[in-house]
Amino acid sequence: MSFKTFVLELTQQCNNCCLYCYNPWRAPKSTYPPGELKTNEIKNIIDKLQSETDVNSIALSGGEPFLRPDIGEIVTYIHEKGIYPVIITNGTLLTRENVQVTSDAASYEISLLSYKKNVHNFLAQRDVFDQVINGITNVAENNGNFIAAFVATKLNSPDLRKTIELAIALGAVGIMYNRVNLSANNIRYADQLLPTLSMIQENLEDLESLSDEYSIPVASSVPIPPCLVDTRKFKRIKFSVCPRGGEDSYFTIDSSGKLKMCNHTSIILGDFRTERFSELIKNPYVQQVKDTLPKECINCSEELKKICFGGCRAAAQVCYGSLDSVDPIVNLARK
Amino acid sequence: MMSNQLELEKLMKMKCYIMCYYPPEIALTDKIKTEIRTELLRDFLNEKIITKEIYQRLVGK
Repeated sequence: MSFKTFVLELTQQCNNCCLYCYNPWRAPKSTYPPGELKTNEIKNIIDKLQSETDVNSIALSGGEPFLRPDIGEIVTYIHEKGIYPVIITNGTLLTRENVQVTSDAASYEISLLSYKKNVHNFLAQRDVFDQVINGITNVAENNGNFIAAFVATKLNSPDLRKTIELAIALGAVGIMYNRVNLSANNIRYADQLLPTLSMIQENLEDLESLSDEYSIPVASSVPIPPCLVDTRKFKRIKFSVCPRGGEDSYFTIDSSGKLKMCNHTSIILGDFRTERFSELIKNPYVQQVKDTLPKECINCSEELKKICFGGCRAAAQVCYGSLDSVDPIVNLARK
Repeated sequence: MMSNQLELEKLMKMKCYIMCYYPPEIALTDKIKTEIRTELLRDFLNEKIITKEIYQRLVGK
């Protein structure tokens, strides 16, 4: 199999405290191992990825990647290897200088949670809206590619249309729509955060028409189980499903060099610094993710099973402790 | 004469750029987008969602 996209978590530190954050180390009483690599160790990981896989794109994430003073050096290193560097950021540290030193980034995926300052700030749990708008403007002035990431919750879903128009006004070249993904950290806020099914439906209808009206590409990354909302009728939106270790997977290397199947899971497959990628993905957990159909999905139609396979497998594992369960959005959104 | 030659080369380059590397339909889309973006920015400025400074930096005035 050919794996082309990887996520590199540069740090666990973050200057925001977003209510919807799914990072496993943010969970109460988390036992997720801490750690942060030195610049040369990160470069070694990039070299190793290039020698052991078909990598062509690395998304730099965290935590907040701009908290690392060597972010520019890492972006340039990736770029010079002929790999596309993508930066996933909360947008608060996009100073002119930080944008300048990361000019080699293929794109900046920046969270824009609402056009309403109070809603954006409440979700981020910090007074940062103006900093984000200024940061996006710095990216635009430097001719960088800005992808607006909208995390849909009950609190900001009604603001979607105007928020996307704000993103377009600020120069967005693409829209990433992610309905909130439940985790061991944010499940305590599920009642407050989880959008209703009609909210998701309305959001997708708005995105379909916005994409048409403004000719802007829209992607939905966190899986939306088609038993909740029939995603097949939205022709302009590119929907992702859980790749379950298949070719579209974005295996993730965490801030201490450990390999995971994606950036949502807390299950570590092994140490990427010392073991070969091809050996690590032979971990029995990978096969278990591929093979385990949640019990709630057994009676689903074959067509939907093929599209979905139970939604986000990592969300089921981190919230219920079992791959045998369906994505928690299926049970909670139906309540 | 020299100046005209430079102008001609510039024009040829521009034409080549437009014809060969930048499909006209995309250019048209971009033009529309710029106008729409400016209009949207003006609306967001009027609603005080963005500041005048941000507006001016983005529309280049």
